[in-house]
Amino acid sequence: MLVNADIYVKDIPGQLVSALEPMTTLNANIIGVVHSREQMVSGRIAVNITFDVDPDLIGKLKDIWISRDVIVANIGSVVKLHYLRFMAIGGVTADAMQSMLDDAKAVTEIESADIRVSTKSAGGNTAMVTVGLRTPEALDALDGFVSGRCREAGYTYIKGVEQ
Amino acid sequence: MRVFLSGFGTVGQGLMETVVIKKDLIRSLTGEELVFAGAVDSKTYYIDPKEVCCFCALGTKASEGTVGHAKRDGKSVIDIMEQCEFDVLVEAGPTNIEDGGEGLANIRWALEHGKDVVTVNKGPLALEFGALRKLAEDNGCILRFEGSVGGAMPIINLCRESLAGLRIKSIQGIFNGTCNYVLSRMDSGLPFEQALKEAQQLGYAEADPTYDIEGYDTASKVVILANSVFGRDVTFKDVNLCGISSVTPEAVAMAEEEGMVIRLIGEVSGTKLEVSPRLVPRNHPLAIPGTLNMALIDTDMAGPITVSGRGAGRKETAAAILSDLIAIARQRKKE
Repeated sequence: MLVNADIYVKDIPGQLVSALEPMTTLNANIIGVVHSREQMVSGRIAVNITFDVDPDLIGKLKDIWISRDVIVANIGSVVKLHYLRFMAIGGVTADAMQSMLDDAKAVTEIESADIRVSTKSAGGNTAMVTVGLRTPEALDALDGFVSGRCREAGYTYIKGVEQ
Repeated sequence: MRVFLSGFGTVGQGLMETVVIKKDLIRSLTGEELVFAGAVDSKTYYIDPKEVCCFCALGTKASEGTVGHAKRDGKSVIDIMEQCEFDVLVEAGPTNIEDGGEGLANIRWALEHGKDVVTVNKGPLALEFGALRKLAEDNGCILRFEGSVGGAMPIINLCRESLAGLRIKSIQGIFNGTCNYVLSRMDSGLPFEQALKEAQQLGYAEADPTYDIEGYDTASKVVILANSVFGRDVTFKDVNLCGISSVTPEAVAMAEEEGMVIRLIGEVSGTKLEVSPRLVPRNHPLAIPGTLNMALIDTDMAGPITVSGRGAGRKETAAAILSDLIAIARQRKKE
């Protein structure tokens, strides 16, 4: 399971290594470590770690960290989102796009959405939309829904080639 | 091998020139001579019980605009084929996407009469692929059509022969050089109408560009791929189709800001059959500019395989027809 954790370690030499070492013991695959000295809290440095680990071992890792005086502020699974990126051409408004995505929530769960609408008006406004979804199936469902609604509204629907 | 050539436009003439130039190579590859028993264009025909003189046919076309001196006077291509002894029909007549036109009738007649067929005419394949394949099987004939998709870019025989044993999950591609030229000129800031006019001036687009621009040409090609590579039974009417005429400079600019371009992509898989403009990341193989064709074949064992080549042209399409003729000659020799 992909996990992200925010921990705080004392600002003294060897503490970061001491926090990472048990992860190796538990066979976790460290994907990323962000070590920020700018986020000091009570003499401790914030560290954000992303790693892949057997979910049954997360509790054990927390116990080891606590025993080593590492503060665990936040720990949880990372959800990998799938993105549907599309363009709609022809008199599109931000409200119309938002309304379309609101209606789409009846079809599939949407994790994030970004709508950008052009300000020029020649040939009708164009919208660039990026929607984050949890599964490929949700992406297919939204693709089907949005393409149908664009057709009804007379918009030209242009989706990404990788979808 | 005696060939009857239906259609003496750019492609037909290109084939005849190629056969003349590569006469020795063809003989060395097949062990026999390739000769034309007859050739027909829209107004005239030229048949010879021994063989058509290629220089005469090409010369007459250059000087008088016709393949021969015998006027068709209402004779169909079938009427003319009936007067000929030949082994293979090469169908290079104009594409008719509404009912297949005379090309469909010619192919049917040839297969019913035990002739092998090589076609670059997409209409009959896009409309009646299943029926033609069955007709060929029932009559022990070979039906090949490499030049109907992607011109000189090898794709059909690549998928069916070289990649046999792999499961092809999907094919995405740029199958129309005209659309790709127009869209890549729009990348430079030209509006659609101006880019299209430029394509027409350069000879990349027809005076009536509807067939290319509205995606009908690409749709015909994805139907041929769906039927021949994916074993589906679909026709032109089953394609989810959208052309490029509504793509605005503003949309192209927005795509550019996101590091992408817009391209007309044909996509076919076990379930998909689609032609539409798509957003393509600039570093993606399908982001190519210009008139080239490109296909991305996604396979189970070998991952993605990319092929590209000139999708149209006199020599390019003739090369694809020639490869099919050589394959037929070799297969017949083995039997």
